[in-house]
Amino acid sequence: MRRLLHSYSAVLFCQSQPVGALLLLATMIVPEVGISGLYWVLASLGFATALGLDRDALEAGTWSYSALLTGLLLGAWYPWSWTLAAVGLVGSLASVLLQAALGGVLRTHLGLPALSLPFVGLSWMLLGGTAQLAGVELRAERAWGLVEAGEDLLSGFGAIFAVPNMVSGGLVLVSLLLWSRIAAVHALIGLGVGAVLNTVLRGMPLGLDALTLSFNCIFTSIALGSIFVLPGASSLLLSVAGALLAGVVSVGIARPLTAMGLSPLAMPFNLVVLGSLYALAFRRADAQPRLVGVPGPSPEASLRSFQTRQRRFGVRVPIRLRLPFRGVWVCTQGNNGAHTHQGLWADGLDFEVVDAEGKRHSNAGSKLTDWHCYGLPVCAPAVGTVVEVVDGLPDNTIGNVDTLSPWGNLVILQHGPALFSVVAHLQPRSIRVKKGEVVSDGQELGRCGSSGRSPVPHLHFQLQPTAAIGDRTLPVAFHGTVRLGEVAEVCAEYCPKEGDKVSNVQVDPALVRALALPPSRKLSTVLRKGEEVRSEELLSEVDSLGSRSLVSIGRPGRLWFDSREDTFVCYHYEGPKEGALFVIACAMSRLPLCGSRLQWTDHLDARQLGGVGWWEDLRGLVLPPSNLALRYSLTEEDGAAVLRASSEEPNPRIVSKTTLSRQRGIERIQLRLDGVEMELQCLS
Amino acid sequence: MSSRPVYETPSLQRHRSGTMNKMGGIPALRPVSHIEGVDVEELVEKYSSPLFVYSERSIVDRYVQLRDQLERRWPKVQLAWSYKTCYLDAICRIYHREGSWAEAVSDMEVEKALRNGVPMDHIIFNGPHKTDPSLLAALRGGAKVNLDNFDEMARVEKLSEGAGLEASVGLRLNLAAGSIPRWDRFGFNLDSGQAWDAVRRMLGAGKLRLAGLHCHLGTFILDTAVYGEATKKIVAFANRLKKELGIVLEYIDLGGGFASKARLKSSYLPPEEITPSASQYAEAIGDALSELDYSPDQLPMLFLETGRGLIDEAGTLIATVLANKRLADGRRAVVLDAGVNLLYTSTWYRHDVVPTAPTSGAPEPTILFGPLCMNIDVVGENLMLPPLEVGSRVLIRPVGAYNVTQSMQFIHLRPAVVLVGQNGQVGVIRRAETLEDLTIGEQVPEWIGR
Repeated sequence: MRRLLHSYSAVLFCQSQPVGALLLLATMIVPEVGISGLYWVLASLGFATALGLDRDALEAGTWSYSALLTGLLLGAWYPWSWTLAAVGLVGSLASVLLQAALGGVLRTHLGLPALSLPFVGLSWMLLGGTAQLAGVELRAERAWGLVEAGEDLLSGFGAIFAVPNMVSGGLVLVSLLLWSRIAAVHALIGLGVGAVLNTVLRGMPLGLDALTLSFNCIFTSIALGSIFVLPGASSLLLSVAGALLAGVVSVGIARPLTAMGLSPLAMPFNLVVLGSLYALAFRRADAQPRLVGVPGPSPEASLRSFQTRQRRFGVRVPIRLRLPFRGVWVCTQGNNGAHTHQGLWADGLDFEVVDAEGKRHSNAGSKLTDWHCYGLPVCAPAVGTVVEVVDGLPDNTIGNVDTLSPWGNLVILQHGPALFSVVAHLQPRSIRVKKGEVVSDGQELGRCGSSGRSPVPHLHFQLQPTAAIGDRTLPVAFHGTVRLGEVAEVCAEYCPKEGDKVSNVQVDPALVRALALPPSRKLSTVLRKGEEVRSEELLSEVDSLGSRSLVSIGRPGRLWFDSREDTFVCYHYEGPKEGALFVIACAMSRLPLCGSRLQWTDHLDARQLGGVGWWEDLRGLVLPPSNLALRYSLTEEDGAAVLRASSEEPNPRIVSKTTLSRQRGIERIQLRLDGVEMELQCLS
Repeated sequence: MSSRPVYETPSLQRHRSGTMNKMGGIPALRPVSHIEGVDVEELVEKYSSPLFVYSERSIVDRYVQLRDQLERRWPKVQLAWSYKTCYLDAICRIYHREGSWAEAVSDMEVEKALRNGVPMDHIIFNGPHKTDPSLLAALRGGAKVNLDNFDEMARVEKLSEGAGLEASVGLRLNLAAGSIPRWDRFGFNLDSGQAWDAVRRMLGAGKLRLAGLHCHLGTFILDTAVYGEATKKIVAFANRLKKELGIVLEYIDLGGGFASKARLKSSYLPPEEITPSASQYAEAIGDALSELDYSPDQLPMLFLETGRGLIDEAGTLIATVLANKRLADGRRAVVLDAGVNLLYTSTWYRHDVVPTAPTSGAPEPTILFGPLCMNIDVVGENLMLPPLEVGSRVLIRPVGAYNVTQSMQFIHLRPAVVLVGQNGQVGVIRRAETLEDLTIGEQVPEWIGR
């Protein structure tokens, strides 16, 4: 039943049983059409299961929605017959295969969704051919007894499911509204654009009717405005432009297609959306409108998860970048610095080492070796390939510079298609890597020196878009950086400023092991909430994409988390607003796995805690989301790491204390949320 | 200070030609009246003399300096406070607060570390004598236990098997490096192949897992190249373990032995010139470690158990002049209220002795005696000191390492130890002892009678 209903809702890009049920109902307004669709869906589900196609996709309706659309279309064109039933069997098998093949090619090679291309292709083959079969007649009129085919706006929605009728159109619109307000807004935009085009056009070209034009516009708007593009002001523009384009393409391809005996169906929508997504993916800089990599369960969810991600982890640099040295260094020239970080190189960074008195050198500083940073290891900021090495240039004597080769001895690493990092002014003959070598993050590249345009020993770091020495710089931000001041603050994403003392997080291997939670690890917990005491068994799982999650056996809810080399982080929680998983998600949303005294801020998606209405979603289109800022501190108490979190004063919504054993992992979480005390105890 | 002229006892001195020679000059003695901003006279008035004084700022500064220097050269570094160097709770807790683990070499030290809130898995357990119960508790709790000999290995195997533990242990190694004396009484010898045999023997039994290597080269090592050489040998051994036996180590523990700015009696040059800085030690070790043939994500943790190098300069002993006398050979002698009962290290080190108030009169070679009625009680010989008045104070330094832990209740009770905090506050960290403290464990059997 779940698979069946999801096959219906998948047409609207969603996975929801109520939506699927409403859509099923909408198709049943004309029973002949609806039954034909249902027949195809069931057949395709059967074939997909028999062929052993991916079960997750089966549950999501991925293998069957094309069959549904084709079945509905055939049901609308041809009255019921045994021959048609046989066509249904062959056709649904073909639709499953086409969906798998086409979807696979598009995803693997172009990174694009299959949309309804399998449906269009299959329908083109079947619509013409079926008429040639004995015992099949083309319906003369698209009218079925009592149900009138409408030409009005609402029927446009019904046309998506081959039932162009006010009632079914209304049901489709309601189900859209029920699922996503943002998508519904975009659907109305598409509808509006379609209506405008209808009035502007002096009659439809041969082979195109107003309803086809209308649903192409609607679908393009939904897809480009909310599903595959992050909803927002810019996606609104894209939605309007996409709908217009879909209209233009519809008109443009209708005549040549008709000449070939084909009708446009949903082809304009597919062409416009796939073309736009492919084109937008070529942008290098992070720009609006932003593409959604993997669409969430709804546009609202995509938007919120993006906004929360941005708040929590930042988005300035697409890879996880660590400071290119070990221990505590100080930034001696930041971005737009006074000496050399100007113009094209404004985003460069210089680092040195200072002692307890704040001095950069011992003695008079007249020898290279007097300088504290001289000779210290310089490391790779991330995994990459060595694309350029310069070695052998001499270190300058103090106060002198080499302006002929300003970068001096250097290593350039490639981290992505247009992302390169540079460490410069290294000591001659200290470089330990060769061109072409793959290095892991933290691997030593060479030693800090004073070659190139470097009057005193220091390390220069920059990101740039090419491998060319001296190229312009890109904005830099390091991840998980510890900034030392009154307190040691862990910054999710940080670009050091002049005078900042910074270091990477010093990992505690015992804590990393204790919180690794490898797949299939079970946790027995006892949850106390007031008088109520309940035990829960948690299980660590991993899915086919490598995403890791915790589930509570026999209870709803899933907590997506990761426990990687230096951080434990909860990404997202879905489920009831109580229970062991909920407590973990609230009390340890992020935790650097280190032993020292640290503080940091994290943001919880307020929706996760409940009390956020759907009006919040629409608000989120223009305003930043109402996340809950949590202030964390990590200390050492009685031999255990103790994590404390509190949301902003006064009257914090969340106050928590988590005790972590280095041998057993999570021991105890005490959480107060909105005045309700909860205590989670892990037994194993 | 009174402005009255002070009577100076005349003294005859042998003529010396030239004051500078290769042995170093005559130290210019500037009186030091304050310790970390606290008046010495006030301290004595409140806590009596003799008095050990520790500086929290010095402790923290040295610790942070060494840690930072090491962390800039190696990605995983952990210091462990060498308990025996000074295991007063307050001192230990300063180190633990700063993030230091504990290095214990006896059951008592393990117990003390646990009492100070150190979790068992943050204790490094070394030493030639570990009892069965404490070994078992240490293995259970995940302490880093470094084995000293084959007999201990067999004992640990038996213990862990009996308790059903899959225990991880480290091996203590000894090796020849540089020109320093070889401490081959501890651990397995690397150069002779004994260490390799020990690993093979352990793997053969299959009851223990090798987690790390430990090596403490010696004490007061002034040549950093020795660390480089020793570390290279250990790294070569670790590389061989990985290549031939597939063992990936979790830690390499290079012990301690870093010199402080104390002056060895045998040393010609002043400590300011010969004591290496933290960065020099760190450089020697870091450079050698980088030869390790490990991938960056599995690099072992570097442990160091530096004691003396961290705390020696933080400790000062305040003493009072009890009497002046002339010996038969004409040398001047001064009797202090602090002797070898409090200054165990004066056997090897020539501590600085500094008056707290301005003095007058020419300095001459002076021998300092302690208060014990024992001929061996000599605190310093041939120190160039001006005449010291009875009742005046002197500061003896650096004495932060080993002196408090090795001081004894011999003839005199042990004095108070105070700590000057980072904001100049003063707190007692061990009160002066009373007769009660001395006799608390004593019993008189019945037959002796009352």
